[in-house]
Amino acid sequence: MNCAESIELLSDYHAGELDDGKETGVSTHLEKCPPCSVVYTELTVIVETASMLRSDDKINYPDEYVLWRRISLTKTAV
Amino acid sequence: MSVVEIDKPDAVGDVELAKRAGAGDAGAFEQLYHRHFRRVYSLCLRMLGNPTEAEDLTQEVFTNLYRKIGSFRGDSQFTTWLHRMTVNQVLMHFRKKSTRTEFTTDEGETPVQIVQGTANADRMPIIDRIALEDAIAKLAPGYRTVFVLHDVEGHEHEEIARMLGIAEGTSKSQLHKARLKLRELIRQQAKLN
Ligand SMILES: [Zn+2]
Repeated sequence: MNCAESIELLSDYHAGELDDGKETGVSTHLEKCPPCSVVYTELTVIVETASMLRSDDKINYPDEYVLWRRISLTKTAV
Repeated sequence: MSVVEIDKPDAVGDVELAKRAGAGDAGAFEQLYHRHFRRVYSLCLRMLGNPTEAEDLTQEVFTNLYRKIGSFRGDSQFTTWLHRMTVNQVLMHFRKKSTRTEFTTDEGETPVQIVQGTANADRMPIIDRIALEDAIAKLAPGYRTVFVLHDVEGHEHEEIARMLGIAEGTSKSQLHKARLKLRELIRQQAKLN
């Protein structure tokens, strides 16, 4: 398996959705190809970081009460 | 200002509040707003990548909720129902702006390039929450939608495909491209800093 082929399959590989042949193909390639293995590591970190954003409370929220006033105005106009 | 009780353990459940709101209880609706405001806003923000638009969309979602609350039957979880309503509202917004995303093309973007340079170029950039959020905001809407729904919100491809009206395989390939694009964007950002 070459670089382009293995890059193409990295998300499926990460999800464990490849058949045995392809899975072995990708893991063999990653072992002997440092650039592709860096890509894989970074994709994995992106996926893990993304899942932490879900429960993230570090967002700058707008003023809840100001927005509520705007909503009250539009909903009575409906 | 009205007194609103939020997140008291013995507080009235969402379904009960939704029923009351549907029957015209304004206080119950306001309580639902305060309970779910942050979830709705954060989802809008992630999908839109823009605080002003996210605020406008949050307002639209709750205005729409006010109109439709009478049709909530309580056979699904209220949070799920509201979540879906929010996603639909954002997608409608994309269509209105005619930034409606072509889910089958690369949206005219430069193809994802894999840097195969020296050991130095392969040094890993810092991928943290802030770097990722910046990069997500720069993604094309189609990529961003699938990435946010799958990797941030935790939806399955099957569900995303249904919500977006695309094939499951399209959802998968968009997600993969979005991740590669994010990696590229984070690397670019790291170089600029
Ligand atoms: Zn390779």
